[in-house]
Amino acid sequence: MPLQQALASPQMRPEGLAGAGRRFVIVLVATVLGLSTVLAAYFYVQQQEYSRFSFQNLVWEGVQLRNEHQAFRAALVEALGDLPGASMQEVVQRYDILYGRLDLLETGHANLTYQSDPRIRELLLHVNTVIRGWDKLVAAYAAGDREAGLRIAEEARAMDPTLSAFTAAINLIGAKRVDDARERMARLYAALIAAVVVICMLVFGFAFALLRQLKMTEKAHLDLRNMTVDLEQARREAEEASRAKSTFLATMSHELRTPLNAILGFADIMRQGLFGPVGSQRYLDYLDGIVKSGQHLLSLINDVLDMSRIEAGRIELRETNLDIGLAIDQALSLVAVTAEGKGVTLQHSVPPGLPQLRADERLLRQILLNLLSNAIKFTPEGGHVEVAAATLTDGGVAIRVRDTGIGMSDAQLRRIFEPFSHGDSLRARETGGSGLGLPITRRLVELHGGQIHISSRKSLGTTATLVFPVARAVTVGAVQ
Amino acid sequence: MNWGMKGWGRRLWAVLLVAAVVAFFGKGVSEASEALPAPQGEVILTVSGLIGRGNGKDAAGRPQASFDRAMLEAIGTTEIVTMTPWFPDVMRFEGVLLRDLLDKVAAQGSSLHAVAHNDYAADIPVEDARRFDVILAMKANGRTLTLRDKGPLFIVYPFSSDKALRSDVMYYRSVWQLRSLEVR
Repeated sequence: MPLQQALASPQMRPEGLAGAGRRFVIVLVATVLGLSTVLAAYFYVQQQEYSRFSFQNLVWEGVQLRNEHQAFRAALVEALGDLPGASMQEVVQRYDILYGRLDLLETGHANLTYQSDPRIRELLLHVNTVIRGWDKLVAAYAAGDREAGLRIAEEARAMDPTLSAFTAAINLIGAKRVDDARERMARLYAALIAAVVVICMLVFGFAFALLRQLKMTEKAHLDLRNMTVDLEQARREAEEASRAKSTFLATMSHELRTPLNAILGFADIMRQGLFGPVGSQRYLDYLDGIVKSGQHLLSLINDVLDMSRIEAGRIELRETNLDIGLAIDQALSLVAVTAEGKGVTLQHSVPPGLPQLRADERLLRQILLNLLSNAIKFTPEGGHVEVAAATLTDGGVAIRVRDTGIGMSDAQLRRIFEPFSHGDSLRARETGGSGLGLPITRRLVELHGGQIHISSRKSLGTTATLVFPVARAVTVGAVQ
Repeated sequence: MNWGMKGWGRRLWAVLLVAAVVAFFGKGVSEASEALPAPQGEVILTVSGLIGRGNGKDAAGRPQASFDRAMLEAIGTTEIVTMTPWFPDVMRFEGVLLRDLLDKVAAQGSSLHAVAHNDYAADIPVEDARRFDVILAMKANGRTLTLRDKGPLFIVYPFSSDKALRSDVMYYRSVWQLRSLEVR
């Protein structure tokens, strides 16, 4: 059965489902946030690193140093060889330019990198010392000392391999830097791809879970609809059965009453000796028994009939505006004989100005009679039964029936509205009755939109209170 | 005496009038196309190419402007305080605004080909000179620049004033030991 499956299936528990979904979303969001943060930080660091590094500066400065050195050397050699166009001024200028390069190597940004490599540092120190040392020689050569010029030329040639090594070394650093950068980029891309893959997987997982959940919701919805249909069907069947039972009971009760009335009628005729006396006193006693039992049976059948009518929904209220005091008086007059026979005093207190009650006259009388006969039944000789009515603060009306009878225990009180239950089985035997009186009374009160409350203390008496809502109260004089 | 005085007065008036006319037209002429004065001292910069005013001709016969230090200083100098990749500290450079120089020679091109004494060359968009206070620095921290310290002229951008200027391309355009500019 789909209903049972649906209820038994663990995924169907909505709290569990929501919890898992929430956890999943939290994990997803946390992962994406975490990855984004790590990636952003990583990119930032890499970017900072990259922006500090300038390959051009690093290698260019070294290459230019060598170029200036060569240019100076060429100018010097040309001047020494008295080549046409060569001039002393050119030599001095080229030396100045070369000299300027030395400062740059010491103060520029590339310097830090050069200083970090011991071999380059050593080469640079050598180059610096030698080239700065030419300052005086150049001045001497410019002043006409040819020997000084020759010495510079010699040293300049010897310097060539050193500068060559220097440029090679910084080129190597640059290449390494580029390689590092490339490797870093590769790592960065790998991390990026990994992050994308992870996020993709999470999103796929999320989508999958969502789809599954959707499907499950759909299934649950379908099951629920089926279940509703099933329940509706079951309810209809149950109602049908209940109605059939009630109809059966009502019909049966009605059918039972006809022969019972015949029995009671004939027994009464015989007891009264309408067609001649009954021979033996014993037969008279038996006739009494037949009439008593028959009347008891009749009241039982009436109760069952009422109950089944109520259950079958066959009772329709014929509502009129009733004077509560009058209704109470009428009910009291009906039980006056019984009460007097038992030695129970009846009292009533109805204040003036009570609103009228919109109710079915016959049913209200039945309600009051039920309560009163119960009260009288359970009140010993010398006790009294009191009926009172009052307007409630919310405008509703209350009617109270109080006795000084034997009362009930809490346990009895709890079962009092269950059909076919008596206070206890002993009492049932003592008092007789269908056990339907209070259940019927309650149904009738409820049909009027009212409530019944019963409170009781063992051997102190019982109080039954009827409460009708304000909608039932009709202020006297008002047009209804 | 009176008459004589009058005669002198007339002559004076005439001289003043002629002088005023000459001054007026002469000024007009000098504003429009009068050649730059010839450099008196050592030439430290030559500007050639698409220029409207010069003080000589280049090899191809086009106008060419040669400047000595005094002529450049006469244009007016500006200071830039900036960090550079070539010095460990912030430096105070002093020199001629490039756009003032270009105006002085009535330059018309869009690009400058800057050549240094060590034959380094770079192309500088004229727009740089218009947008930024680019100077031809002649002094750094109050000291006149020589060949040994990137002189006599050093193209300096105000690097510290704009992040866009702190790039390798701008550093590449910062020609030092500048010798000549060709307007293209």
